[in-house]
Amino acid sequence: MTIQSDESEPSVDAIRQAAYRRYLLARSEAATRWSTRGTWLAYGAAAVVFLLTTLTTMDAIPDWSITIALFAAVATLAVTITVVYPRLPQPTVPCPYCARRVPLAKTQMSPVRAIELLERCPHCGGDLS
Amino acid sequence: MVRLVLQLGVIALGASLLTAGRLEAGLTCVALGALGLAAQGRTLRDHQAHGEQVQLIATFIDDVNARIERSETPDQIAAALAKRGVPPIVLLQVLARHYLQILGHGAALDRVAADITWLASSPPPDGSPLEDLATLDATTTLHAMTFGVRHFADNDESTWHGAIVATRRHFFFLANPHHESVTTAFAKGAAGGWLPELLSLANLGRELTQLTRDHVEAELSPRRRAEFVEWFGQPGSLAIPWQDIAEVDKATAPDDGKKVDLVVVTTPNLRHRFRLGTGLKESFVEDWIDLTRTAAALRGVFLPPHS
Repeated sequence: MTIQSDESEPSVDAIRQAAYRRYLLARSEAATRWSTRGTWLAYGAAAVVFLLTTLTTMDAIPDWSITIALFAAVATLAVTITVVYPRLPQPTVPCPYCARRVPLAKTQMSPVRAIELLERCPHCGGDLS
Repeated sequence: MVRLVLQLGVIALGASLLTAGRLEAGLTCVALGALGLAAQGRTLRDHQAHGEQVQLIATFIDDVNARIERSETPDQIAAALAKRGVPPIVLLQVLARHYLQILGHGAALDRVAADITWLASSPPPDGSPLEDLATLDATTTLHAMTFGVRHFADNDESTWHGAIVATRRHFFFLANPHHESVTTAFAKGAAGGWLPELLSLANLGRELTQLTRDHVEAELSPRRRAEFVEWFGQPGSLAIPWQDIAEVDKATAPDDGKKVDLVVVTTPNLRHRFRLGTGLKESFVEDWIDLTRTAAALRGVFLPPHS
């Protein structure tokens, strides 16, 4: 049996403090990645919608095709950021107390709103603030 | 639900393009939407089958507890329940996950030692990595496999494309010498009317706990095993015994702040970085971290949950 550990015989408190520090770091990194991804996903979706709308409408209404496509792209951008992306699975990090995976935020996150971080572990009730 | 709406939207867009006379774009959208719907249907059926399997295992809990009390090893318990319809590897994963959930941060070291020792008390017979690959079995030796993976060398100078495979004895990266880019695979697949293998197989590692063994077994043909054996001889391939893994973690990709990589650190302090698919789906990496901890625990290694 092998227990992989950086320290030879750390105390339980030292392990918990190290786990909490790692938790804060992992949570911060995951939140940064998550918000960066959301905006890029929206740009991609908007670009695709712009192209497809232009293709669909350019024969029927050539004068308005680009304008309509621009509106559609902006609407897609807004809907992707505010409705679609927050409903995709959030990143999770292990709780520093019970080690079960917990989400980053209390509620659905949005890249355009401040993240309301989870304050208590839903499994063990540990303080995550 | 979001995916379903998007796929229906793509089909509606395709129909709209078709009526506007844009045949190629319309057909492509309809085909993409239909393939997406088919894949979602398969995932839903898998989830239902998984739910039935979980219910089946739940009916055996008293029996499992009684067997643990009688000091039976995990493999003995798995063999006994295999006759009642639970694949042995699934039961071993369930047992390991259960014990790992109990062993949080700060758990007494003697408790960790006792539980992990019991989990590893019936190790699979020793064998070389090649034997391991040649005899892969979806119900007894294969934990999971994922295609469409990039392996970055420790110095980031070389990159290999291939698959990661977790067996009871090893963690493999197998470099595919016939790798084609996602764009090429997609173009060939779309032209031929089938879902490109690269895309259809990439998800095999996703939602690892939700996949049924039938799903995995369908992808593990004798041809696939022979390919794995061939790929193992390629530069960039590696086989890490679970006992050599010191840490498993996820980390922001150094070349792109929105992507996340799976990082496996082996003794003596070698970092292996893997990008699963596009690197944008974080839960995919989290599934692999959990699976790595589970598989390592079954070989007697306790990997602390870092991220």
